[in-house]
Amino acid sequence: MATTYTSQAVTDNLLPYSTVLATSGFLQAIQDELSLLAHPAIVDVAGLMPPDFFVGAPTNATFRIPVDMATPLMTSTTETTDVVGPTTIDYSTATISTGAYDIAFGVSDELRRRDAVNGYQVVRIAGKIAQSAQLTVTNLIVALAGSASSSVGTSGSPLTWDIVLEGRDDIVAAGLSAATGPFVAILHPAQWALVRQDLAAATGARAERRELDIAQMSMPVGYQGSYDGIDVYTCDRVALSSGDYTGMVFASGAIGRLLVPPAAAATSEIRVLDLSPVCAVEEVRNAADKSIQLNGQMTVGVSILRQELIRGVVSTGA
Amino acid sequence: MSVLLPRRPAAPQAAQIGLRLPASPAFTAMAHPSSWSLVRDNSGAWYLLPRLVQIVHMVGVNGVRVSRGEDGRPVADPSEAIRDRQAQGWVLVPEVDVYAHGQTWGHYCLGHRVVTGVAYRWAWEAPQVAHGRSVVQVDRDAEVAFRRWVGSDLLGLPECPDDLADAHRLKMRDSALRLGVEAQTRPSSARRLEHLAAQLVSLGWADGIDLPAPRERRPLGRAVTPPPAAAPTVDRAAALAALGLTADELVELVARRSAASPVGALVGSTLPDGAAFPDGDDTPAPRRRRG
Repeated sequence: MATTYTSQAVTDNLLPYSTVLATSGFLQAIQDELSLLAHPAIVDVAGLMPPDFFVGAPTNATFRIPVDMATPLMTSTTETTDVVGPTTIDYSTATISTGAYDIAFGVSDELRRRDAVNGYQVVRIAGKIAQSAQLTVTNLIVALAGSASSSVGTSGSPLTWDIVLEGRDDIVAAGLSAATGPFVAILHPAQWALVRQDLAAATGARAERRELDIAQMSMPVGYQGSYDGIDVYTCDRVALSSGDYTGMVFASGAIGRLLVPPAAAATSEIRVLDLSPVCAVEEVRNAADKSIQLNGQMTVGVSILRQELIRGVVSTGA
Repeated sequence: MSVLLPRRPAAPQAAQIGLRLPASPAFTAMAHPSSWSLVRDNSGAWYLLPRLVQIVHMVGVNGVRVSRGEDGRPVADPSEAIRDRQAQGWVLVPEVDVYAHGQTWGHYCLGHRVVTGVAYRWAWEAPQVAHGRSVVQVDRDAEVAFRRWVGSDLLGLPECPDDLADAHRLKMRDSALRLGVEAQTRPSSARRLEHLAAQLVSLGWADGIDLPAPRERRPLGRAVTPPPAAAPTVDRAAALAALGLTADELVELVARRSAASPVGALVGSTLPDGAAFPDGDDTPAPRRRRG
């Protein structure tokens, strides 16, 4: 009988973990709030839906998500007057579609035998697939920037931190009660380099802040620190259009992600990693070819749920 | 509703082989009557024209789903995403000819073969390999012409509505005022102010903005008194030679209270007219600070 590993059950809205790889570093990374995938500002749409939401829904499906249920004020009445009539419950919706994403790594037995540094072991490849899933979701999120209805910054002009703050304040100034933190900014590394120069020239009380020291540290692409209540991420997939980068800044609730959990492992399946609902990794043995193949699969969709809570950040990169 | 999909990319040119640009998905452009942004042409003049948003054809993004293409292969289908946008007042930009880089293209979104796949770009962007590097030449005149056409023909707005233009103007003015203060100490603010000033002047919203010169930074910790105004410098040796005097003779002349004479002026005497030196040298010694 084939060995089957399945995930342990955990509470809702938490990423389950594999019994096999629970202590691995990449699992911690994928659940870390510093990972864009798990950032609290990005709504887990599945958490808004009924428990049987996915039953009967195809993998590639389009869902309408209620995002803004307007709550009217009560009407002033007196002892002798009645309420005019029942108030209609009205809400706006956003569309989110999911799509299947896959990746496969093949490793020959010979390669594994001669692998002196354990670079081709199953666990490592499974971790690479989990990382790939994380990057894929990030790539999808970054692709949302070009469709933001409003933007700050100007074509052909450099980026300063004030422009990012302008985007945040523009969102807040709209007066929406939903415009709350944590705010997130996703910038291209070239945009971030300009912002760092700007922050380095800060004067007065701002110059004394510890946050600015962190800004000048050399960090890998990804989380760069939190400034003025905005968590800053960099990603080199931020689009370059007409000579300008289009990053974004958004409030909590602007963006939603929907991860459709993979089906439960079949009896015959060797599921080496089950990060449901993010991704699952399955091992397939090809004896004739003397190799194994690791298949990773994920079904995901991201969408701007509320345009009023997001602004594009347009600037040059130099 | 029929959805316009970008045409397949043309066969790559010889010069484009080896383009090392990231692959990027095709997109559909949409515009909204109340969404305008600044754009500049090749000469550097700025215009306030309709902003174009991109509905990227990437499965799982903003309601883009998978459907079967003509050859049965799965393709990204943005029709749902476009319908959503249209319900919010956004207008689909149709497939029209775009004149850019000296030739006419059949679509505003063109595909270019790159090392990692296909990179879809605006028609006014021309990726090229130059000197071993992949660069993107932008024909900004073409972008301005296209966005102007979107405004006038598609949205029926040849000019930005006054209320939106005023909002832009006020926002830029406020930024200029703030940056004018910050620019004295922050190079990035000075740089941004330069851009902003160029935009305001180009748009006719300002006659000109005086860009402040960077202020000398004062050393921290102790107040510094400004240095005294420099006294007029005189080449004393040349003056003495011209007058045929020695230095001692000059001192003697000054002592004779001849401050008003040309000699006094030559030596830079600060003695005002009518003032007189007392007899003898009673110049007070400089006071030393205690401690």
